[in-house]
Amino acid sequence: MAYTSIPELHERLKNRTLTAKNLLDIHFSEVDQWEPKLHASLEILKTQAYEKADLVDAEFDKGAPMPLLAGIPIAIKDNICMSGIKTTCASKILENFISPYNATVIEKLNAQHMIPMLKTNMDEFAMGSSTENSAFGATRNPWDLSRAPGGSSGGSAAVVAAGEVPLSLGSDTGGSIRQPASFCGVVGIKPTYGRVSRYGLVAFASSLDQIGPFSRSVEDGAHLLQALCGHDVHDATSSQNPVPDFSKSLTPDVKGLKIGVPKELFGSAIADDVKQALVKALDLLTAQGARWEEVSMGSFEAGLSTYYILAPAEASANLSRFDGVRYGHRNTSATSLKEMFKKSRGEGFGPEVIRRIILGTFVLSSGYYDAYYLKAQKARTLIQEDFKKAFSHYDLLLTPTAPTTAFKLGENADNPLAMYLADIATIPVNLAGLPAMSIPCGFSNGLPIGLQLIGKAFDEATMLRAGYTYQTLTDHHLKRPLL
Amino acid sequence: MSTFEVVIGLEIHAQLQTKTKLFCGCSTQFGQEPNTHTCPVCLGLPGALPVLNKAAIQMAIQAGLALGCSIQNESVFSRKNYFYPDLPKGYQISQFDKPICLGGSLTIDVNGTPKTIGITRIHMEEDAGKLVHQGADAIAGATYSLVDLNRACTPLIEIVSEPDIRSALEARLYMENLKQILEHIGVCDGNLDEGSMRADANISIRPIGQKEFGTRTEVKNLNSFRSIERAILYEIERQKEVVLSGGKIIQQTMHYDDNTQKTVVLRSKENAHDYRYFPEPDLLPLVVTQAQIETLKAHLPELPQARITRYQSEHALSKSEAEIVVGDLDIMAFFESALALQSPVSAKDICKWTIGDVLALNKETKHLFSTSSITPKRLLGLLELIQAGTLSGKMAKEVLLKMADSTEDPADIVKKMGVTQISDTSQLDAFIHEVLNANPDVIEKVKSGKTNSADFLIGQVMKLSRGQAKPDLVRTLLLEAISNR
Amino acid sequence: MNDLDYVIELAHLDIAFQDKETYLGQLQTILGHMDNLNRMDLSGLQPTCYGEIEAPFYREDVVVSHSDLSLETNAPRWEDGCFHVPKMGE
Repeated sequence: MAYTSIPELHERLKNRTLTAKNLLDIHFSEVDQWEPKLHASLEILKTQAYEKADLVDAEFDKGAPMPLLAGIPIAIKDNICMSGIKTTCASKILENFISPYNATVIEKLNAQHMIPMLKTNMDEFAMGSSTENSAFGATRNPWDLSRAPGGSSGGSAAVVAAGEVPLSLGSDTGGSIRQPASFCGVVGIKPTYGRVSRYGLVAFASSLDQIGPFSRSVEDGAHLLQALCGHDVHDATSSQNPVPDFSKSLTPDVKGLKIGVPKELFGSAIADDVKQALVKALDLLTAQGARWEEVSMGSFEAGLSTYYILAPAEASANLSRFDGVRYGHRNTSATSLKEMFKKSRGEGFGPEVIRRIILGTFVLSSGYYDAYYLKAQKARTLIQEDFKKAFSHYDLLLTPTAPTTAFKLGENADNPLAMYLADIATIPVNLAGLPAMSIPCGFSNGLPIGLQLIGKAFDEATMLRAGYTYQTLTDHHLKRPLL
Repeated sequence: MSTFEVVIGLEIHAQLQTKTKLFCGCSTQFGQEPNTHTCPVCLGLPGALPVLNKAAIQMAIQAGLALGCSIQNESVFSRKNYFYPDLPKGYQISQFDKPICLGGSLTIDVNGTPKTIGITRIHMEEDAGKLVHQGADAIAGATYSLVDLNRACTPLIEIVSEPDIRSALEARLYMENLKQILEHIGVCDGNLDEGSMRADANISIRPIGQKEFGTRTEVKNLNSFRSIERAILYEIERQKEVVLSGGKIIQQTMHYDDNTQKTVVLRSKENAHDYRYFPEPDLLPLVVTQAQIETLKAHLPELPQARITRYQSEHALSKSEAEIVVGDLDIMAFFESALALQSPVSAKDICKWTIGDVLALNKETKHLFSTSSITPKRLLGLLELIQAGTLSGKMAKEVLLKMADSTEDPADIVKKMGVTQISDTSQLDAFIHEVLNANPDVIEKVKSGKTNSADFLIGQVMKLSRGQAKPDLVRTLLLEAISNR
Repeated sequence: MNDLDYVIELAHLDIAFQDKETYLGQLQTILGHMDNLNRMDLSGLQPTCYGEIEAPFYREDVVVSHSDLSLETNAPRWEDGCFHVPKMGE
């Protein structure tokens, strides 16, 4: 039951062969079994979830028309604010912070009568690619407990992979949804920048952050994405573009689809097993009438540097509000204000966060702005132009999501740069604000491999259609890890 | 001993008169319980995002138009990064290298000579919250501070002048004029007591004739016309003393203390901030179309100087009368609505009474013109009685006082008081006879050419009539009676 | 190290000396990698600061009141409806 599709669950809830309460029971029993092994959740919202389930069941009992997602349990990354519930961002500095308001996406889930069940673990303030940078302990990969689930939304990816929930929300700044989706063998969608409101998402890098869904299938992901999208008056960067009906993309049809494969992401930096899985996927799609060819994206070389200048710069300002004045950790022994600021922040932030604050502050500081920040902004333009050029020839780009399958916990602990390289395929997408998703495309030594589809801005539909088609031909997404 | 020229540039922060804050829907109302006008956005809660207020954009553009600035079609908000407990996000959202208005000027009248002060730019920004230091009056002795964020995120425009100001007086006049303009176009309430306008002054001195500017100091916290003048005078004297005693001016930020009337050093250039400005990614560039600018231009209210000139030419007010009316929006609104009533009474007379007796009365009863029981309509009722000869000016003043305590028609009050002016000549003739009979000697004096002596006789007649006689009429009848004797 | 100390001061962080050395080494490696930007031809390019740019969105000037924000629950120190902070000065 914990691996059933959303439309099927909805059907059963509607005909009352299943109640929302049953559904919670089933999933909480998975939580009980998996959590001690994975540590994917920071808070389990049992009481609230059952209260909500009762309300939803009452509506279903009345035969009231309910949305497709009603009664479906969901897990929420712990950097998305839920009123009355702790939002820690896996940081000591917010260990006891209770959000007094709901993020817009939470309001949207409420409108669908979805049932938030878990707050999930993450790299502190979404900074990392392994979920090891959590102040409350690392999350493990359900396919191999000695390995990382990826990050920063590692918790949200792991709970879906393990069947603790059918759906979850993550956030993606440089690959934080797609890379863990790849490592955990699930679908992770990063929508076009501006598609989903960021209001209530604790900001990491404001010009790059997007919230998106994790699911086991493209179909389920499309349904959740539908619920999340739309303009929000609380987010000036949220798009006023109309949102298409994504369910129309759920038809197997890739005839005539033109796919570009950036050769820069098919070189020596990519592991052989990953490349092989991608080639197979391309063959499958070609057999269905799609065409593909190599494309050169020279600007990708600049992606990592650009990202690790711009994202920390924005982050250094975004994290200034954690000063111990209004909420969050405060050092109480400090006798002066400045000492209070410095000690509270020094104690509250973990090493990766401090590293990025320092880096971001440095690239903005007087004398270095032009050499780093301004240059990175220009390189960002170059990357955007490269994508525009490619999309004048192709409908989609296809790349590996990550260069390798899940790495061992602790493998890159002392080498931040090596860790940053895990994001080379995902980062350019954020810099250009495009939609992309990771889909399971095979296994190597029992570990999932993900492929990334990148769409034109505001054209999630084509990407979903290709992904859906691929999943009708494969069963990688139906495999599940064993306890 | 060489003499010095003073060079001053002013940065004036004016609070825009919007209902809500710059980036959130919280009310900007002053004087509420601390931290009650706050929300996730102005508290800087994690995850909250700013959304720009339309009205604030319009007001900033209006201010720019009123000051002759060129309005930029694209302007950009940046983050100005620094830590302070009244700054919730750890950065202030402020326009930096691409402000909404560039260029412009303001002409002031310095002892009868017009002088034009250049305006470099106007940019939009959010205000910080309020810090109340506890345990002592000043920062220095405080043991702790309390943070109130009601004011945080209130919309401000910062109007930056060129270093064209040459004296403390000019600085004050500039600020006064600016206040008047912003009030007139409805952009700022000009309430200095509530901090609606605050000035920072960049001050330097140089020997007369020298081209280069001297090293400047920045004096902050000038929030009244008095303190701006005093602080600048003090700082000029301080700089002169330093230079004359062979010292050097150090570039530093000073704080003006209203109580001690002195400037004290806040920080020197060495530990100046590195604000790390960068474009605010949460707000797209602010785009204003030419059409929007033209519409706002067409609807810009009449500026105070233009109005003063018009009052003189159209309504025959004197310059000082016009200035008084225009100088106070409350008075001006009263005057304008009186004019709008289309009465036979002249604008000049309405003005005289408005800024004379009515103003004095309102001050005494502690009323604004807008809340006073002396409405434009009632004042005109009274003035029409004078015009008709029913009341003398002196009597009207008494009636006005009575009007303050009632809502009755002036004519009804006059009836009740029984003070209608006597214009019945037979009644007056009787009084005149009585007076002339009692003063034969004075009659002789008048006849011998001492016409001044007639005033005495007129006074006596007025006395008998208990002031209800019309003085002009009494004079005519009296002189006639004397010549007939 | 001077730059590092300056930046740590700007960012209001309190960091132990031995940690500073670790950060310094790591940051030098990262900044070294970033040198590749200097090898690219970026001339004639406008800087990009935002995601996808479309029609801007502005708020109407209408007051919205907010439900209880439980400020005192989250405040590290709260007094008389205000956030309590230590004294200024060094």
